[in-house]
Amino acid sequence: MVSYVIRRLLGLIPTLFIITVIVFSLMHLMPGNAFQALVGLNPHIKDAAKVIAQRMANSGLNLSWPQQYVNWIVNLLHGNLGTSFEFQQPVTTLIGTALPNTVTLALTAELIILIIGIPIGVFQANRVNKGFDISTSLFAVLLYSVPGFIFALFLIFIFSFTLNWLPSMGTVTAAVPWSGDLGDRIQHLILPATALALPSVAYYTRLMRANTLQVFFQDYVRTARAKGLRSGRVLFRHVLRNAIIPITTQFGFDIGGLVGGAVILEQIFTWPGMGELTINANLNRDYPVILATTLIFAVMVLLGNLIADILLASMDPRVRYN
Amino acid sequence: MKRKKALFSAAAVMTLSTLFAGFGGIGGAFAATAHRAPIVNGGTMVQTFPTAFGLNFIPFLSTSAYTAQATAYSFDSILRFNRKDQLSADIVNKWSVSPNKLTYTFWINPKARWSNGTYITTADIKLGVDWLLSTSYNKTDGGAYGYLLSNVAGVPKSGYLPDGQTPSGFKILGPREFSVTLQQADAAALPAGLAAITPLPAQILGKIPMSKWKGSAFDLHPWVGSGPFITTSVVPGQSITQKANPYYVLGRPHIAQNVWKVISVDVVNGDLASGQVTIAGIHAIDAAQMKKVPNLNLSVVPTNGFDYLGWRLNNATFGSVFSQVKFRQAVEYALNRPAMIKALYAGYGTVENGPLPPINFWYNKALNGTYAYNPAKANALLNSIGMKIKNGWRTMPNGQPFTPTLTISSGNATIQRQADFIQHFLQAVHINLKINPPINFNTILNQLNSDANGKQPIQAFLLAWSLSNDPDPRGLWRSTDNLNTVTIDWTNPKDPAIQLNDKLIHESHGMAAYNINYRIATLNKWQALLNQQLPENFLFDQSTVTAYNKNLHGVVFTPYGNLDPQKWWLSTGN
Repeated sequence: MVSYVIRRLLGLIPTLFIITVIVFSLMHLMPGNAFQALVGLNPHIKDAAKVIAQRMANSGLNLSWPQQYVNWIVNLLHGNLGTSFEFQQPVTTLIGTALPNTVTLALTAELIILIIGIPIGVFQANRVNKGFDISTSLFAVLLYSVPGFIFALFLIFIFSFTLNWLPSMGTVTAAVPWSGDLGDRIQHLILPATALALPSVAYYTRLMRANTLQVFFQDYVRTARAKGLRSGRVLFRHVLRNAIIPITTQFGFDIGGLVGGAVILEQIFTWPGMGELTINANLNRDYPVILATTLIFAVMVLLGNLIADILLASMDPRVRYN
Repeated sequence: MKRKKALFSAAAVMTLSTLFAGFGGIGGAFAATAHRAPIVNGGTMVQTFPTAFGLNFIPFLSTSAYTAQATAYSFDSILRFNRKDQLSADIVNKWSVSPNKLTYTFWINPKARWSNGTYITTADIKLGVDWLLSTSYNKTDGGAYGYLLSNVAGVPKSGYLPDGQTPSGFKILGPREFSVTLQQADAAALPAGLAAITPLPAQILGKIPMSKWKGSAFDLHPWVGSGPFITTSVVPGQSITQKANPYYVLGRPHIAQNVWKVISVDVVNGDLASGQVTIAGIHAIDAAQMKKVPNLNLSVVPTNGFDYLGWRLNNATFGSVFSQVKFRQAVEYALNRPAMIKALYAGYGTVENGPLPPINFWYNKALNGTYAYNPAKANALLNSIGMKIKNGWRTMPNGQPFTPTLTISSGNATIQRQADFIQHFLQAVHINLKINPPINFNTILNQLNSDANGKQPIQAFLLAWSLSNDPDPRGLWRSTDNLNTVTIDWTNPKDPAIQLNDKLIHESHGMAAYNINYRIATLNKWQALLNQQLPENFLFDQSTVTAYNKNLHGVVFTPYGNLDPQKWWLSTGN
C-alpha cells in the first residue's frame, strides 16, 4: 500500500509539470500584464512605458519565458511562490489565508453531501416507486438542475435577509467580541456550504439509489434474504457495503471539483478563499498568483483522484494495488 | 467616502466600470439629512467594498482604491475640500502664499493630535513629504502620487530623492509652522498638490527605514492615525474595523465604530434592506425598488466625472474619418443621450457636453443645451464630409465601406447596453458600427497601450473618467500627455485646435491664473474649444445613487464624496 501511494505520488510530478507548462504558456499568451493595469492609465505617471518596463524588469518579466519558468520552478522548490503583483504580498501568505477557507468550505459541503445524500438514496431504493422515492426523486432532480449560485441567493434571501438568522458574508463577524469563535465560524459556514452541497446532494442521492437498486438484485442479496436475514441486516450488511463503493470513488473525485466549484459561491458569500483570489489574479494578470492557484487546484484534483483510488482499493478486495 | 479625492489632483482617474462608480457612494450636499432629534453618540456603521481590499495602509502606498478609502478615514491631509469644493482647514488651519506665488506658508492647528493624544508637529509633516519624494516609494513601490510634490524646489527631474532626504523647498519654521517653495508658480499647486500632503507619525515610522515600510506591522495595521476613525482590526479579504478617534482635529466622531465589509454587489441591496449594511452605493436601475424599502433613504447626486465614447484618431483603417471634427459632431448629434440616461440609469444622470461635468464649480454654463439630439443635423454633417450612403450604409469619402468597430469590456452589463444604444443611434444615421464581443479590460489596456501605429484592433471604445476636485487638465488633455496618446490620441502638433488646447491649459495654471476670474475665463475658453472639437464624444455624467439606513443621520452627500463622517450619527431605532 505504502509503495503504491509513493508510486502514485511520484506519478503526479510529470502531470503537474505538464499542467504548469501549459498554464505558464497560456498565461503569457494572454494580452496585457498586471503593470499595464496598475500604471497604464494613471495620468500622473509621466512615462508609463518606462515605469511598466522597470516594474517588469524588477519582477523578472523581461526574461525569456523558459528562463522565467525555470526561475519559478527553482523558487517553488525552495518554497517560494513569488510575490503578488497586485497585492504586493508573498503568494504563500495570500494562499495561506485563502486555502484553509476554501478547504473548510469544500469539506463541510462534502460532509453535508454524504450525510444527506447516502441515506436518502438508500431509502429511495428500499422504497422504490413508492411515495417517498417519487417525491424525493423529483426534489433531487430539481436540486440537480438548479445551479448552486441560485441556491446561494435563495438561501441568503430566506435565512439572512428575511429571517436574519445567518450571516450572508465572510467567515467571521466583524467588530464583535465573539468574532472568530468556533460558533461564529460555524454560523458563517452554514449557508455557503449548504449552497455548495445542494446540487451534489441530488447527484449523490441519484447515484446511491441506482447503485443500491443494482445490488438489490444480485444473487448474494437474494441468498441472504433466502437465509432469513432481517431486511435491515441485508440492507446495511450486504447491500450498502457494496453499493457505496462507487460513491467513495466519486467522493475522491469531488474533493478537487468542490474546491474549483466554490469559485462563484465564494464571490457571492464574500468568502475569502481561493475562488476570489483566482478570479482577481486572472483578471489582473497577476502571474505568480495565477500559477500558484492553478498548481494548487491541480494538486487537489490529482490528490482527490489518488484518494479515490486508495479508497476503492481498500474497500473492494477485488482491486489490487498495482 | 471619497474624502481623499484631492489626491488625484490633476485631471482624472480611470473608473473601470459603473460598478465602481456606483460603489463610491458619492452623495450630494443638497441631500444631507435634516434631523432635529438630539444627536446620539455610539453605534456601529457598516460600509461596503464590492471586492477585496489591499493590505497596505500607509497613505499613498496601496494600489487598491478600497484600501485608499479606508486609509482616508485614518489619515487626514493638511487641507480638505468642503461641500462647495473649496479648500478648508484640516490639520493645517491657516496658510498664505508669498507675493511671487512661489512660497506657501502653513500653520498646523494647535489642536491637531494623533489618535494616541500626541500633537502633530512639523516633523510629522516633513516625514509625509519625505515619503512622497522617497526613492523607496517612487521607484520600488510605484509611486503613483509622487507627482503631488514634483514642483517643489529641490526635487530633481526624476521626481524623487534618496530615502529620508528633504527637498530644499521644504522648510520647518517652528514646531507648527512650515513652508513649501515651488520651482515655478502654479495656480493649481495648492489644490492639486500641496493640499494632499499627509502627515505621518514620526514617533513610529520615523524609526523604520522607508525601504521597510511596506509590509511592516504599521503598514498592515496602522494603530495610530490623524483621521476620524482609527483601524482596530483587519480581516484580510473581509473587513476593516475602525474606532472613533477621540482626538480628531475636526471633532470626535459621534459614531463609535466604522466597519468596511467586502460584500458582493449581488447581495448588497438585500443587506441594506435587512439593516446589515448602513450605507452603500447601488445601481441606479435598482433605485425605484430600493425606494420602497421602509428602513432606507436614498441620495442621488451627480458625480464629478463622465462617460465617453472614444475613437482612435490614429487608426490605420478609419482614422481619416475619426479625425474629422464634423464626424465626431455628427455622432454627438446622432446620440439621444437623454433617452440613454433614462433607459440605462433610470434617469439619474446628466448630459455631458465638455470635459467638466455640469456639477463642477468650473463648468462653463454656455455648454448647456449644445448637441441636442438631432439626427437630421448628424446626417447633414456626415454628408458634408463626403460620407455617402450606399446600400443603406455610409461609406468613407473615397467610397470604401465604413464599418468601424466598438470595443467594450466584459463583465459589465451596463457598458454592453450602452454600446447597444450607441449602435442603434448610429445605425439610424447609416453608420454601420459593429460591436466586438466584450473583452477583458486588461486586453483593452494592452491594445490602447500598444497602438502607436494605429494597427491594433481597437477603433472605438467606451471609458469613463472620475475627476479630481481641481479641474487641472494636465495629465489627460495636453497633446504631450501619455494618457491622451494611449486613449484618443488627440495629439497632432500641427492641428491649430490642439495647439490652442495646449496654450489654454498652460494659461489655466500660470501666474495670471491666481486671479480666479482669469482662471475661470481661461477654463471656459478651453471647455468651449473641446465642446466644439469633441476630441471624444462626451456622453453623460451618471449620478451616484446611495442607499442608507434611516437611522443614519448627518451625512453630507456631495459629488466629491460623502463628507464629514465625524458628524454622522446613528439613532437608536428606525
